Amino acid sequence: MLQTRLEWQPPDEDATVPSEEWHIRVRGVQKTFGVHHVLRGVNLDIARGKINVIIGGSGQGKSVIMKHLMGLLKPDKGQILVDGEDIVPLSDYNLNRVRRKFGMLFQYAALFDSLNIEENIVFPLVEHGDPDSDQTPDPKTGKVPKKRFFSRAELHKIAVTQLDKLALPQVLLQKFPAELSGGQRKRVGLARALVMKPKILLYDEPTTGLDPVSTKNVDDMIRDVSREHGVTSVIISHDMASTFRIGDRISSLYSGRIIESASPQQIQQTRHRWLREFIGTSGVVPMAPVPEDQLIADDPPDVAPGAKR
Amino acid sequence: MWLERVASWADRLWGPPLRALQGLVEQLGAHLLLLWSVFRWAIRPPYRLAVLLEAMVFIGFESLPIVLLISLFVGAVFALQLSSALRTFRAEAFTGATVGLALTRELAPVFTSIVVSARAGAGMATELGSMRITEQIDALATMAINPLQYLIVPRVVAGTLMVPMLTMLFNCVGMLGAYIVSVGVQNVDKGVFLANARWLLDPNDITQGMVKAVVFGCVLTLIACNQGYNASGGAKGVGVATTRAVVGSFVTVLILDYFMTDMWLTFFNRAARG
Repeated sequence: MLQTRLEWQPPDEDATVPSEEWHIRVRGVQKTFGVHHVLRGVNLDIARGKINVIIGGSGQGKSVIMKHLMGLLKPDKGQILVDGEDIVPLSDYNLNRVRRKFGMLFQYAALFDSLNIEENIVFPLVEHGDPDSDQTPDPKTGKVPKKRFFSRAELHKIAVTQLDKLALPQVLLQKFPAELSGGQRKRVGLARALVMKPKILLYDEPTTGLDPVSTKNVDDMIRDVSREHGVTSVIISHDMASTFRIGDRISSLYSGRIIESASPQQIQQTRHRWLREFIGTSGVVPMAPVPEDQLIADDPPDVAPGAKR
Repeated sequence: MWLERVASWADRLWGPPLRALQGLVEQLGAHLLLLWSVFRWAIRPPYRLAVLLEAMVFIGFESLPIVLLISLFVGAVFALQLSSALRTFRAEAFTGATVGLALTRELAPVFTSIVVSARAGAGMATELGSMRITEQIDALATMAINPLQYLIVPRVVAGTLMVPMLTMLFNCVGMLGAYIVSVGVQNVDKGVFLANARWLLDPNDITQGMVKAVVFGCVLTLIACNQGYNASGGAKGVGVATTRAVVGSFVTVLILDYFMTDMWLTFFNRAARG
């Protein structure tokens, strides 16, 4: 007989206290769009300095969670704690302070069509200045030093360096996004996300639509960035090969909740029926055998209470 | 049972217009909230002068050729019609004065706004709509840049500044068109044309037109930006947003024109209302 659904339970500790282990903590987040109850009490911990992957079926709300992590969406209920600070009640003005910790690579890179590649890459630097500028107030006067902004020559040099790091030719600098391939756009998007030296990088389905070789290149790029810069990475994906190739921690979203959150090895031993089917169907990841009577049945997604079915 | 039938009948009769009215009120509220947000973010640093100048070039400078062309022909056709009609009363000498009044008070601000809306408004709605559906606006937010401050504030400020400037040029070139037709074609004496124009027109007429131009410039850019910024549904959604931006601007400008004219004439108690 199948057991009832079990959700992943977060550790029993105060999530508002900044933690060395966890960079972002999500507690009880709910979100409804009209009659669609997309998130129904999400609990999630993002490991600091690791590659965290959130997997789930299409339309389950993975991108919705990601937008919540950066404050692009506000939940109907719940907390989202970044280094112990709840970002849900913050105003737009104060959210910008938190967002400087983040960088994001969108599914189709979201490069600015009216700017060339060089301008796209250095855009955050033009707006915000040198991320390494010392902004510590003077102890005597209390004044915050003026932020340093780069010269045109410095910006050009930075753009060239970023392209080199991501194995892109310099000839791309004067091209526009429409002239690049999908894989090139993603790398430029990543270059733009990295210039401000973020502590947290979000990737929205980074390998969707790419051929297998490009997929592996993007995976390697993500792993290298994570290791070299010590960045906390959060990836939304339904590409199981990539997930198990580079993920340090995998969280599974189903029916508006995180049902499992563990290392790849532990995930392969999951008792959730749906998750076993989801991963097993890919054919790239062998699942550890589990007796039928120990499997957990997960309820199908439903609509908001009171809504017409 | 009969009550349900009455309710159903009433809903079918009054439902659509009431829902349309509700939609209009919601739209008005949304635009007023956006205007308030634009004002709040416009006074906060950083002040992006380069982005503002770019918007001013797009809305103002690049609309100049079409505004000048239209103003020339509007002035000319108005003079043609008026001189022909006034000749009946042997009053064709007042063509210049009448065209001047019509241009400064009504034609210049309204036509300029319509031209700018059709050209720049449609362009802004399309650009912002495309940015929305390709997540470029979200990308701005993720870079800790307020998209409203970066995208909408410069456009609204630019529209508010440039439409009055274009309107003034419309006045001048429109009068030139009227002069060419009146004096060159309709044989109105040029001295009489100019003297009557100077006699009838006063600064109040020009001010009226300029105030309208400021309001129209702000409103049409606000509508265009709002529609584009909130576009959804892919390429079709962008098209819908652009259409709504242009049609919405046209209708709003014409409605506002009536009420502003009524208020202005009431306030200044002009003899023209007699």
